[in-house]
Amino acid sequence: MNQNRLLIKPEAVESFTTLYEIMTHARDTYPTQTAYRQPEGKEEEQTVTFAGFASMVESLRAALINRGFGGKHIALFGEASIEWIAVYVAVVSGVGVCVPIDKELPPETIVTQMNFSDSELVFCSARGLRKLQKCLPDCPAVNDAVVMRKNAVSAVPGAERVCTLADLIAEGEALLKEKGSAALPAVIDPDALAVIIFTSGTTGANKGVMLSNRNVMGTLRGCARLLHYPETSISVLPVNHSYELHAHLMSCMYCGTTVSLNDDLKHMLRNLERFAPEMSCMVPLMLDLIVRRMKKQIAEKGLEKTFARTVKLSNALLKTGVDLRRRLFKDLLAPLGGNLRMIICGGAALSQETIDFLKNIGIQVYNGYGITECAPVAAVNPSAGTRRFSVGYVLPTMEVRIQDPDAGGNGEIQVRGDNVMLGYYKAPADTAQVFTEDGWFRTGDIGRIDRDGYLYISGRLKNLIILPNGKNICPEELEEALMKRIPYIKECVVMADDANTGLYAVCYLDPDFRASHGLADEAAAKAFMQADFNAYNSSEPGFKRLTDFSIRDTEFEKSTTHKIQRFKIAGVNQKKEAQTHV
Amino acid sequence: MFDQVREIMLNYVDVREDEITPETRFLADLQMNSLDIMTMVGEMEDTFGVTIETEDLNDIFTVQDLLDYLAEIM
Repeated sequence: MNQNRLLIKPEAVESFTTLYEIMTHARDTYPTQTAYRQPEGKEEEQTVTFAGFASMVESLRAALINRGFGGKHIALFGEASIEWIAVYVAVVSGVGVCVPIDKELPPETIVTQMNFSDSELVFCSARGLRKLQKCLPDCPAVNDAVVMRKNAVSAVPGAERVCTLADLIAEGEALLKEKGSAALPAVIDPDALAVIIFTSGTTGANKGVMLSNRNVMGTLRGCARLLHYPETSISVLPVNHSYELHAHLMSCMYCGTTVSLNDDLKHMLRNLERFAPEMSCMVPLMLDLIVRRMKKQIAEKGLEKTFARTVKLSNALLKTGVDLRRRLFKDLLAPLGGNLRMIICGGAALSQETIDFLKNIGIQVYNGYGITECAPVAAVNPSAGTRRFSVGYVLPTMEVRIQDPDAGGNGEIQVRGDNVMLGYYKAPADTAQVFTEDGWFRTGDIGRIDRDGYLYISGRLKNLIILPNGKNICPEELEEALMKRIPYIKECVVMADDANTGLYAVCYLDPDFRASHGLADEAAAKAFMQADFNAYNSSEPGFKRLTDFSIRDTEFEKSTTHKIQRFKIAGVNQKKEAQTHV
Repeated sequence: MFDQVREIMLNYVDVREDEITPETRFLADLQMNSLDIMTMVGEMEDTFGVTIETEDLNDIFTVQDLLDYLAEIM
């Protein structure tokens, strides 16, 4: 039993402004407690205590400063691991600027992001090395590479110097032994740029969101005031996402929670059962999968009516203060390890039906709302009381206003406060566009706030497609890539279907091309394009793949500024439209 | 192997058994999402005792593609 954790009161750490303070607080308060558990194959695991983790971080800080990386931009590439998290905390703790890179991106995008962010050193996991090796020759400023989770490393093409993380830690340990705290960075400025996180932009290129320690601490302090983190959790989302990194991993460090790390999305269900956590942070897609599987389990045993009756009984008992859910539904909870009782959900819209189903069997979902520019949490349902259809309270570390509300109280959600980013990296015009003259950040989302302060999201001002897995898709980016790959597409529009689970393209082909290739018939044109469409999909990461496409015979209707009027595209449910041509 | 693959697939999609054929496409025909596919692949790794690289999934569109891939690595 982790009794120390109960001593953590948000007000006691209100004064903290850096992640380093959180780490040292965790080290000093529960030194022998396990901070992270990491699977090594199906049976074995590696663990580290909060004291051991802090020691890794300190050694890395010393070694990086000694090697002259103070103030430099440092890319971080790979799957979630103890090492990845240690490097992140070390870099943002007075060393330089950390640039987490999505390991699922195609090599050319990785190159673009590393070059654009002015990265000079890259940390890479052993598993990510094959992909990174394709990129480094095109990143002239990156001369150094450190390989994590590998005992020895030979030369890496494109990098002048290469070593393992273990080498770097040993070097740091020796420096600390020799020089003590003199080997460490002297100061950590809470307001200085500490992280650049790439997010989907509306102009085709990804934008680099600049965050300081104070921004990140805004999320940590706000979440800790609204939520009670339990003793154990599991990390299943990509670690480079601000949501997983700050709202989960860093917040858990803040609260002394032991986090198990999922080694691969493929193994999410296996690791849930294995590590039996009480909590996780997820996106709607994951909750939908879990609920679907449970419903299938019920249906296969023909227990639909029994289940409905048991839920009714259980809810009646709950009203009298008797909670038997974990016992009544233990067969459904067992595949998730049997202890899961709390899920923070964000990243995309979540159906209330899913929340209700999980609540009925003993898992409370805390739905929230965030945006990378807010480091990222802006609102979350509090442990003290969730509200149906709401994304919760705006964090107490921020102020919120609804701009120009309509009769129903809906308008653009604008925020300001500790969480709000410093700006977009090397993009002052884009930065200026998202801030109002009086300094409020324009989220681009539409919503309202009820009498008690709960926020409700009702729409979006921008074209961004937010998939249930939390991935933000800029349709213009995909359209540009598709037209580049298939030059005979003259115009195209990428959209999500009504259920928001798939991406579809509606394409208008060059009429001369169609005529010269005998593709006047729509079905023939589609059949002709299918191979090129498949080749395009092969080159894109999974979340950017298009499910299907359809061909239209006329150009898209344009506005006076020659922009395609997306809302006027016939058959908004393009999924059905596309299927008719399969 | 087709029967085993189909049995696992049925955990993720709501279709009749005979609606899954070697020509069935994961995305266009079954509307599977990326998480369904990843989780299904994890289950296949456990069932067949193999490791399926995420990058290799980029070239797998149909059930037959998956069967060919599994036959190659087993």
